[in-house]
Amino acid sequence: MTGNNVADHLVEAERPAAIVRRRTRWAVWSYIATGTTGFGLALVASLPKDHLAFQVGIAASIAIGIVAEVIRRLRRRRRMVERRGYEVRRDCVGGVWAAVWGLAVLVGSDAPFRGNLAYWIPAGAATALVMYIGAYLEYRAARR
Amino acid sequence: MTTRHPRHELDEVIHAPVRFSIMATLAAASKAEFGFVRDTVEVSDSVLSKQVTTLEKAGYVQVTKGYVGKRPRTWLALTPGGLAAFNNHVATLRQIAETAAQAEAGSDHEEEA
Repeated sequence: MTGNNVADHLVEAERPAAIVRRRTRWAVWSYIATGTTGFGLALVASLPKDHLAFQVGIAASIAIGIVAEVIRRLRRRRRMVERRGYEVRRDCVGGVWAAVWGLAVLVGSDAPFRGNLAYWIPAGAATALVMYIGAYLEYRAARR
Repeated sequence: MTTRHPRHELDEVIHAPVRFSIMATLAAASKAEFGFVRDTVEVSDSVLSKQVTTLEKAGYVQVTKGYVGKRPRTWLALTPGGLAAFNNHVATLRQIAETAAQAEAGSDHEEEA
């Protein structure tokens, strides 16, 4: 086996990996979008229920949720490849995010925290941070 | 004691160019749809099907058929043994490349001397 043959094989070992990384970039953006939307929801949740901004925020959240679900189903039809380990990372990050979000809402429903931006901003930031960390882990996993 | 040349560690099933490309594609993914692998490796359906059958018989690739909605889909994935075999094969190729580079560097030094 000549050095050139070996070099060709080693180049070919990396080429499809670059294609897979490019075709699965959406995974990183989906974490970022979920984290940012969650933070927005937390700010909406801090508002009094009879406030117009609260109602607009809830309507916008429902609309975003519907659009996100449609996009998810369309992508699932067209998804041709998944990054190695993506499902495990997604389930772990999703589980932690759900726990942090649930805790934030549970604590926030107590009277002292209701409508209190001083609670909801850091609570929302904490839930967003989980998803941003997930995005970073997904980005790093693709680089390996 | 002479050591064996690393080429003896190469996997003949994986080394064939099309099968190597298929394994490289699947090594980067947890699973990939048949059409994606075909387009990435740049072969026809029948060629891909034949090579995948060879890899499946070797225990390196797992083929799963299913549906997304009403559309049939065929998904390909490396088995744990397949991933280990591919990584080992690539490591052996790197070793051969290093050996060749060292030999070349050695002959360059001799020429300069």
